[in-house]
Amino acid sequence: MQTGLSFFARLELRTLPYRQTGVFILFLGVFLFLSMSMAVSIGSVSLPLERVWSIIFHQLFPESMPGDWPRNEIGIVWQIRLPRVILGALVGAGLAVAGTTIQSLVRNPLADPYLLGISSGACTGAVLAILFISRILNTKLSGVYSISFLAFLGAVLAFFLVYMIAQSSNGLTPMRMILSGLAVSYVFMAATNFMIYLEQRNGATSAIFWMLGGLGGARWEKLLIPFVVLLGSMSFLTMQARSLNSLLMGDENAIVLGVNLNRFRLTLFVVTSVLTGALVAVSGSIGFVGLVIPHLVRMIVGSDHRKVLPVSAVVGAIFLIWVDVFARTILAPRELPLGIVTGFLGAPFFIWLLRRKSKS
Amino acid sequence: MKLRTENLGWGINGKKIIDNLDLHIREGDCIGIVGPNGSGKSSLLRCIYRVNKPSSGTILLDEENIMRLSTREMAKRAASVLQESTDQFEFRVREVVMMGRNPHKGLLDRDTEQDKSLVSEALSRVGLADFADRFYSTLSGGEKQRTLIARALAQQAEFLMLDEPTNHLDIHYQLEIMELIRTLDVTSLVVMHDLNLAAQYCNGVYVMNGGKIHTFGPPEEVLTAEMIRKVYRVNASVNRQPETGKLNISFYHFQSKGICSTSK
Repeated sequence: MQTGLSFFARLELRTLPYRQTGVFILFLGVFLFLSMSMAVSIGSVSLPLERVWSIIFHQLFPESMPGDWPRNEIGIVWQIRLPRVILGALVGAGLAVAGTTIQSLVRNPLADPYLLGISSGACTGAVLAILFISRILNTKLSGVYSISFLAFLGAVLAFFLVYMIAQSSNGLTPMRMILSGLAVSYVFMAATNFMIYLEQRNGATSAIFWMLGGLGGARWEKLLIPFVVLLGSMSFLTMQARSLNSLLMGDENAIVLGVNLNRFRLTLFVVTSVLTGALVAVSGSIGFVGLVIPHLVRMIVGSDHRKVLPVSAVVGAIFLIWVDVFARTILAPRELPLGIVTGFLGAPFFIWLLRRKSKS
Repeated sequence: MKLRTENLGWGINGKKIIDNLDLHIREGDCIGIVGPNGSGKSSLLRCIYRVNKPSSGTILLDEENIMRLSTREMAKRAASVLQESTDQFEFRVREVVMMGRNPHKGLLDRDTEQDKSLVSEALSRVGLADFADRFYSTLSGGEKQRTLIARALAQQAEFLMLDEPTNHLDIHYQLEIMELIRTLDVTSLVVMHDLNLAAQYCNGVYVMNGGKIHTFGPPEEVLTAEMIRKVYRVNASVNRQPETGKLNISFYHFQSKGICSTSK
């Protein structure tokens, strides 16, 4: 087991020294900007990059230039694609950051943002909203909001359940957290499946589609909460990067290096739960990103969280933007759920990385 | 930095593991804690580095109750080299040693040139200057141990605790590490199994047995054949090493003398 786990961590493309990491992040930032622009231009109606930028610029500063583009193109860029691409970037960055943190929190390279039961709780809330609540309220708009709201409520409920079960006189230990998360996950999964079973003739497919993850519901108003949560947790975690490093050395080592272990672990659990809950509420559960992006990034920059956190965020954002482009173009006009694409695209890529390393 | 414990006790599930311990360690001392398995040596050390919460008594570091210090303040004063070690995530040796600077760093502080030179200094002190860019997980047991000692040096604490630091080390590095610890300008407390090393390098030895202090004193007075028979239940012959004049202890089992022979 030990060797198997450390094998993941020992993969290495090339570890960059400190000074080059800044340049690397800058380069990634430029690549992120290009990816976002291209993702807006690609779609059923293809728009040249130049027009994409002009429309966005005109929307931001209407006085600066005359806007004489077709109304539908403005709609496509400003109302549909841009919010969607931004949401993709936020969700990708958030999942990668949450994954990095949870891997350190439970000191386990196989951990991902869905390990601790939060997303199962969110799924139950969302499916409840899709199958029952929205029908009772019977309006589409309130449906969209009640999905996010109930998903978040489910995440909070799952958090408290896991916390109460995992809490012991020694505080939260990784093993207890993992096992409690697993147990709570199963309960919520059963509840979700039960609801889908009950409603298999009335809209169960929409619930299943939601659970597989997607950015289809993106609109400007929905971006604010994920943005604020991501910004907040990202700045908090970056400031705690040294303690996250110490935590990877072991519980007792973290204590003798000055980390208030129990309080720190609880804070991390709260932060990652809020982050995961907020992301699942707007995008469903998109697997793979939170597990693999942190490993991929560690192969390039090493394990120091001061480097891993910002680089993961940008790489996660870029990754999810392109996954979404793929998902909405490959079978157009149909859209593939993102969870399916991340699995199909990402897993072989990861296997390729494994094989490539073991050959050399 | 001096350390004093008064009436220190700790237990688990109502069972007392250590009880009523009074330690007095003066500034600059290098003190060994020896004793058989399960005698409470490590539990005692864990109380002092604050993983175990004492059920009774106080621990005073320079007359300050350590329970009143924040974890970070404690880490500035006392550094520890533990047996626990995980390497599921890859860190370079330099990064591990740099972690020793963590308690001195604010939330937004970066690594300064001074931090970097402290790290290089610590690495050359333990003979790992050429290992800075190696991965910690690829090191041998002894190299890992020396990395953790370098981390403790970079921590610049005046009190140093080590839990069996010579475990896994070959004879050369056993002596090297103990020599290093003794020559450091700090007060140190070392849990160890090897009585000969304790005799050679410590200026005071606590012998623990059954969660209590059996005896305390300079090694020459404490490490006697009688004590060893009583505490470790083996026979020993204690001599002087001709070259250094230090104690040289060798052991043999009761049975090999033929006392408990097979006659029945």
